[in-house]
Amino acid sequence: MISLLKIIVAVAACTLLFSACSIAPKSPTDEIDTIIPGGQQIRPGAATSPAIRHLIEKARQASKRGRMSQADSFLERAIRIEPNNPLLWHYLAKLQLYQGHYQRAEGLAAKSSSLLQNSGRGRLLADNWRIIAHSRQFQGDTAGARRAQARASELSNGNH
Amino acid sequence: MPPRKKRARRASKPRSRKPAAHMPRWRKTLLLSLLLILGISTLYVVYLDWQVRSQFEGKRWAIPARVYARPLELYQGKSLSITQLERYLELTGYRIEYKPKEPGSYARDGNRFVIYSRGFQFWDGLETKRIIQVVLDRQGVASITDQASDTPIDLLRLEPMHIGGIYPSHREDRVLIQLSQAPRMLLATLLMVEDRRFYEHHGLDPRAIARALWANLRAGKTVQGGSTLTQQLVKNFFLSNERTLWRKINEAIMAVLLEAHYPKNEILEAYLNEIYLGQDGSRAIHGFGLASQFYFAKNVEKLNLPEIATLVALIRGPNYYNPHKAPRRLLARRNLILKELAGEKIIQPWQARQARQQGLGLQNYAHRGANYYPAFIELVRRQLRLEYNEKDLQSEGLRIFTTLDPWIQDQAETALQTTAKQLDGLTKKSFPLQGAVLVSSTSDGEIFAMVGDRKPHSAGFNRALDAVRPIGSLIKPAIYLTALLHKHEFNPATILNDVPIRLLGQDKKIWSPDNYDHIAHGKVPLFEALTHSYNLATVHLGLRLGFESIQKTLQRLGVERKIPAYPSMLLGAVGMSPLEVTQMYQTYASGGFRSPLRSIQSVMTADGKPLQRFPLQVKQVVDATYIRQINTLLRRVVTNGTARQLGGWLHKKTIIAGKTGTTNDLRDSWFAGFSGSHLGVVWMGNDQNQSTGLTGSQGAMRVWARLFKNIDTQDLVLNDMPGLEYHYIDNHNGLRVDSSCSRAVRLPFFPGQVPTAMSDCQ
Repeated sequence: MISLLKIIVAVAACTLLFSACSIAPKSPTDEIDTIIPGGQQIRPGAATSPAIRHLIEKARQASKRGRMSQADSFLERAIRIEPNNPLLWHYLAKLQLYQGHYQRAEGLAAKSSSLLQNSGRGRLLADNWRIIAHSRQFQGDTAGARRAQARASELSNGNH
Repeated sequence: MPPRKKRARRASKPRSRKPAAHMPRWRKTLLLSLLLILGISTLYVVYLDWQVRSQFEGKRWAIPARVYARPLELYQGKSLSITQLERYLELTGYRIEYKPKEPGSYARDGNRFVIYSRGFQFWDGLETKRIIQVVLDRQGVASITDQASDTPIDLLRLEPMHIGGIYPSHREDRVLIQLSQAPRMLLATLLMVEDRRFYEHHGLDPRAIARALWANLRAGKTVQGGSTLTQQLVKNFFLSNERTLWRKINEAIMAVLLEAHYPKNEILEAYLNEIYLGQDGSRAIHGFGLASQFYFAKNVEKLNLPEIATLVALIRGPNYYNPHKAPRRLLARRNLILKELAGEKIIQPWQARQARQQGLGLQNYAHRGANYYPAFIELVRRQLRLEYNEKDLQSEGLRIFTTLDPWIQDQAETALQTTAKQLDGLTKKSFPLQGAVLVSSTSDGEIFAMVGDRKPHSAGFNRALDAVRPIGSLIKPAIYLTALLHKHEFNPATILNDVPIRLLGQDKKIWSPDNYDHIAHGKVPLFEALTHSYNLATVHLGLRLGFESIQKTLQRLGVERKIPAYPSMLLGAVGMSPLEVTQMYQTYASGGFRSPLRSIQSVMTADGKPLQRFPLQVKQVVDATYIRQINTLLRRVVTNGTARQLGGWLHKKTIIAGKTGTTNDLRDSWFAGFSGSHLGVVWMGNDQNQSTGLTGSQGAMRVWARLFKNIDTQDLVLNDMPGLEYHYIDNHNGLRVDSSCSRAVRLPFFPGQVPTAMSDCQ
């Protein structure tokens, strides 16, 4: 009964986040692909140096192959090089979310947002709130998740 | 299989069968004495067996965890000077050559480096060995090119510096190696010179003994030894040099026993780690691992042919062939060995010729223990102990990848040493000045450097971890932050009372704090009280806020220790270690995100498989806007307050913020300061807890300045933040004022917080 409830909650939370999301993805690669988008999908202006692009690409490949801790490690290296790059914290947050490290995901997403001030990147801000919403949902904080989701929708509706 | 017992039984049977009923008396006596002798010798052999086994068991398999510093990441735009790169190459054992021909060497032409990297197995992949060209300019790395393909390289890691191991306490001074780490040439040379039939004999080699005996008889003195490696190993277990027949017999018995119990390769491995190869002052150099470091400043895996021959040459008599006292003698023996190697067709004649032409190539060895940075290693050890069994750490050969930055560590050590020496004259000789330094990364809590003693290589009392001392004014930002968190009651311009106060202390005595300058300043704006670290204003503020809310703030910032709720706490009568202070300030430095301080990034098994990662963790504990407010005030401490001298001591105008701390009778001198990328915490004082005569800015802040002057650090971001509005405030009365006023200070407020009244700036 409880597990059924959990699944329902999880599915609900997932649909908040990604349109194509399920608890046990049949083909994980499709989904992981969206954690760290490759090539031109990297948001413009966010990662300009070749070293950072190199590490993001490595992290993307590792996550596609399911080597999550390797992917984490590449992103952490990137963060050591560019600690003020909000996109790197965002990707790392997404990776944690995927791995079920909800507390970590929430912290990293918040860090990403804190680095976004002034830059008017509303979409990334909204995505970070979605990660936070999802993390809170999985940690059982439904009210907190709802608040975070509201922030995300607010931002997505073009307030920025 | 216990052959000892078998042999004993076999030997006794023929004798025990014979005795009959009518045995003459003398035969009985003889038999009894024989039995007695046999019994005693059996017991003796059992004793020897126990001894040799316990010696050996204590030593084999014990491969301590190897600890590495963070690797140098090279990429275009990385801030790096020529000095820094050369220092890194030196620390990782690179040799400068005209043209780098083998991994582990480099050439330099002005700002252009050609580096033949060694390659390394990291957590996230293999970094292959290759020849690269690195060009530096004023900003740092201008370009990196792969020489073979002439293509630019995005990113590359050089091997991390090996900074020590996790050793059992009695064997601190070993660099233990595994048999697989030993170069094949070393094994071949060793066996050829010392024990050709090692894999065939059972501990003793009668042929070798006979040959040695013959040679010695002919020469009329001892010129050759017939000892097998096993015998030599046994001899090394019982560090005594007497050459008696009795000893020889003991050694022989033990050698046979050892061979009966253990496989050849284990004996060989023990030998490689045990054999005596020289003396460094009072310290004996045992084993090829340490000897390679000691004589050639490299790891055993990296030894070349002439170096191998030199080390093997030393076995015969490390003092007789002492490379510093008798280099010619050693060279002659080395060359003899090289010739023999060619004679035995182990190497080609041209290789021998080439090797013989080389000098001994000894490196200057800076006297250090097995651990370069004992204070840091101690922290690593404590963090590891939470997750690993101490015995595994000492024996499983784990590879520990740490967060230590060798350059910053060097700067921290030098800064403390130099400053302490400089200030020695000001302090009493009977209470020598001591100190501790910690540097961490503001974004992720990784510890870059840690010093626990002004003599950084002494592995004694680790003040960075264990000196729990009152933190004085370092506590104040937490009180002011608590006030700012009550945003409807307090803002940066709120007027506080800096007037005398008398309170009943915890000891039921009257406590009447005073300002450092013994002046009560009356009504002062909040930001000025923190800038100048006014005690009276802080006590009044703290009492208004209540201990509980301040305790809560401290907890949020990352203080785990229980903070007492008595008034002197408001002035920092709270003991903390420099590490705990760093954890607390980390939260300010990172903009309100708490990260547990980490000294370890990852752990791998001995054969290079990933085992565990210590992931980056951040948790937002204070909203960034409040932190921006408090950090703006801490910035003012540096520009206008108790730390205003700091600007002059740093040659670059980096934006930093910080706080000084001084305790009663000038016993402790503290400084905690941060830039955009680095947080540094320094404590100075003495172990006797007596007055040093130094305030925070006179002692600890000097160390901090000397350290930060020499590291590349980013500006602290204090630009205008959404959610806050900025107004000019008169620093006399806390009212709004025109920006042209000389007393005007620009400060961040929440909307609606700013005072409405205007100051006329008169």
